[in-house]
Amino acid sequence: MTDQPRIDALDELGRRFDAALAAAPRRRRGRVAVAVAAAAAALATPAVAVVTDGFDFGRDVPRPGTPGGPPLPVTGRPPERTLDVLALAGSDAGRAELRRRLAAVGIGLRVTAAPVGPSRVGIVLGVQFPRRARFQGRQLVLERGVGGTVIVAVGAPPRAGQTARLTIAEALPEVPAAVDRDDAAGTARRLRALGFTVRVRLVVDNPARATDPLATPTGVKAVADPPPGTVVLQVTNADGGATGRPGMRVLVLEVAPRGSAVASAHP
Amino acid sequence: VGVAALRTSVRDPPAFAAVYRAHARTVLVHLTRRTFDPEAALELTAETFAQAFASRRRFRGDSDDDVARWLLGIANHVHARSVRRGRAESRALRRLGVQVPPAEPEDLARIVELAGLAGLRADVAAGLAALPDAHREAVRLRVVEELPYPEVAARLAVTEQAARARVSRGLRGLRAALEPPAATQEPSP
Repeated sequence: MTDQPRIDALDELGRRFDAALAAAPRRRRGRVAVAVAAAAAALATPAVAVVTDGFDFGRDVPRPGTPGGPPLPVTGRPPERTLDVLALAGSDAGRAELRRRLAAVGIGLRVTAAPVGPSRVGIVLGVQFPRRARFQGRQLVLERGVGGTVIVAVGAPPRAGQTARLTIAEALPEVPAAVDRDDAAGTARRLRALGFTVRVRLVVDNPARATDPLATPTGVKAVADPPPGTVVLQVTNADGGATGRPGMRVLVLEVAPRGSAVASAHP
Repeated sequence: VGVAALRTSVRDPPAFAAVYRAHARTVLVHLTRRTFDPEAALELTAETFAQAFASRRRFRGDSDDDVARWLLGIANHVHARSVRRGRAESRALRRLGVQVPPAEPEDLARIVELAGLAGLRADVAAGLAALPDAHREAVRLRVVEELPYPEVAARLAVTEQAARARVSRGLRGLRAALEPPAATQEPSP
């Protein structure tokens, strides 16, 4: 076997699979020390939603409030044993509290700074849980003795030599100015008039969600223009991501039928 | 180890971990060369193994090579869906309760190196240079400039059908440079 460079993320992913597979055939019983209330879907991606001017510029972000999403029910757990990590991680005081509460069950906390533009400084960009953390319904549960570290990535101004990852609104301020939630067709027209190539995606509620809580909340399909009766959900880059750069030409405009669950989640 | 572990995992799920250890790098390299994005490739690799685990009962191969081909087929499917949807799919991962860990910059650099992206870019550049001018320009307008076909056709002063044909032939000409070589079937870590 040749020497292979170590890829920590791949190894860590393997450990997470190990833990998930070990839990697959049987249900664990009791001994839940800390229940971390958080949206499972929101934590399934490294970034969380960033809402700017009413529009979600999050990267691959589940749409808040879609069926099965937040608000976050915490059932069957004494309140003092439940932590809302996303909420606590957003401030120095909250992080101190989080560190203390996690330490009480033998779990560390590491806060890392990610270089971002001004609008995302101080915002929690991602939360990584110890490998033996597991989802239980829509809570992420840490059992006493799992050990490890919760890693929170928080947006910070770039240091010398670092390049900030800008949001679309930061890189292209004319974009949010052109967006009108209630005028999807006009939004597409204005963005195109600004010289952008606009790809429109229609997002609809997934009816399967009614019977399968783990089903994908929504379905997406490409359309030429926003259909009548739709509202704007968000604008992303060509890859569906939150980041932008000056000179970027391609935008994705996500729209949804007015009154749908996914549209209602985007006030 | 792959085929035996895969069969065992049907009744003993933790055995699937050996499949991951044996093939994770191969899948990651494959997807990195398809996406040119190590971060996205890591997410797609995770979803690939989650889908493979979910469908392990349907594996019909006889050898470890069959396992690798089966996994790469799933990886191609996951990648194609992500391209169509404009985002990485994560349904199987969520069902399994696995989150993709963030990759540090050093990790991303190692993945790029492992996948040989620098060499691949050179291969693509050479492949592009070797294309007929008309095909190269059609590929540039459609893939690099991301123009819709009607606009590509207008720029090239041809019909939309002809523009589609030029892009298709140009991409076909590049396929040899883009396809990962057989050497990416790497030893397990």
